[in-house]
Amino acid sequence: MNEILLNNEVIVYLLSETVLYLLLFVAFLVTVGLVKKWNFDAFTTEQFTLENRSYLVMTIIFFGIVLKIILLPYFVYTIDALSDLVPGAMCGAGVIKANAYGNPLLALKIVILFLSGLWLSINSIDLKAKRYPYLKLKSWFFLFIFVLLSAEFLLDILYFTHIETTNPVSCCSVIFGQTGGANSLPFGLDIPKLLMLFYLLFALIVLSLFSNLSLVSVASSILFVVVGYYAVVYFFGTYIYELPTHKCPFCMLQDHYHYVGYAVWGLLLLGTFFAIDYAVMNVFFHTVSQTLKRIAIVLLSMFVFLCSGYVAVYYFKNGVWL
Amino acid sequence: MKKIVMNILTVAVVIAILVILLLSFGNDQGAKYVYKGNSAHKIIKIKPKEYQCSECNMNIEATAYEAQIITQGGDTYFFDDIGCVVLWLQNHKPVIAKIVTKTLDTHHWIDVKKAWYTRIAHDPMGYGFAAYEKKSKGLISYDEMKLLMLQGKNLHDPFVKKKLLGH
Repeated sequence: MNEILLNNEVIVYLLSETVLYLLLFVAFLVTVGLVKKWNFDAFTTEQFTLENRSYLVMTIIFFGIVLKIILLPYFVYTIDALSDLVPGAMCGAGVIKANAYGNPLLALKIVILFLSGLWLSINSIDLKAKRYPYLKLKSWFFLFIFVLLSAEFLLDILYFTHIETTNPVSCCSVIFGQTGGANSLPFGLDIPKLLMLFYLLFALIVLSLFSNLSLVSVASSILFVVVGYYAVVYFFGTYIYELPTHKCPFCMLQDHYHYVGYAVWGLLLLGTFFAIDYAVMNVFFHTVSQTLKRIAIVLLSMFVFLCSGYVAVYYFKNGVWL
Repeated sequence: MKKIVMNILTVAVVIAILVILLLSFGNDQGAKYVYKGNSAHKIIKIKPKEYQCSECNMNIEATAYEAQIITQGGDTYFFDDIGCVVLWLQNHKPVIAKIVTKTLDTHHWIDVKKAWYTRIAHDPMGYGFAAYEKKSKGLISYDEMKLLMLQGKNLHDPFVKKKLLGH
């Protein structure tokens, strides 16, 4: 058997994913029935049964989705732990690129994280209403998420069963390091423009949230995820590592850097998610949640201060920029 | 009043973001990978850093190790290392007119299949493979080099490195 599949973290991860998938599969089957037969205005036994069942199934989906969200950092932790087994890998960067399934899997997990979060918000406002106004919508939405979850589960299996422990992989300095002059940054940006964009987008998200410009919030948040990722990998990360040539999104997840990567990526993803969530709830469901707005602003501010803090501390300690 | 100030600020930030993006797009010359229109199938002389390797994306600086794939349609792909040629051909199947590499001993361009390859060169990618025109002891054929490259048995493998270089 593949050595990877005997790793403790992988066993725990795959077992959890399988149990959750089976649970959500049952929820999927029940939801299909709900979507077909649901009629809130009907005064029938079948409708009452469906209403009872819907509460149960939505609780199962809620439970499954929350655990799936928690499993994302654990997946990253598992990948990082595997770097001890895969030759050549110094961190998760090499392991995730050990085969063609790694990067699509990680990207899909992040997309599912955002969609699942939106489902949780819709579920919350639906349960607060008396007539389940969004039951059909959130059921269809769950069916769509379940399709993605099935693809993710398949990719999980394919990924972990196809990691070779005999073939050396590239380490992060090869993957993210100097590309011999070819620009690694998107949109033809250089580092100064990337940083300007980083701070301007942060300002734009905050301003648009305060001004209730929902579409601007969504667009700037999506762009901020991309720009934030590149800014961390190609600029702020070098201050976390205190090495100008070390460019990697994964090494900062290790104990050597006090696991700060979990805070950096967690704050970025959660901050932008709450900003998008607030805007979507505002536009489509006319629900203005001041709490969501405050959480988004606080998380994104913490992200920006954390990243900038590393640069400032380095400069005050050493008197030079990297 | 507060709302007006907020809206003005928002518009100003949006404009600043658009200006930065437009400036970046305008300055982006992009990576150069392919020379088109080489219908005569001639070898294209390039300057260091003028083109990027089609496989590893690195600038082609050490032209002594350069290789080119010229297709029937006149597209010329550049590579900084013969190892990159082998890897690229795994995933791309163009109709090829010729594949040439520069040799370390004579500095000529020759067909990759006519060249002989060392396993211990200081090539840009560190695989250890580099072409020679004249056969000598320890040099291997293209097919053997290709097989070793695809099996990962090059200097990236610590066991192979220790066997060939002793460290």
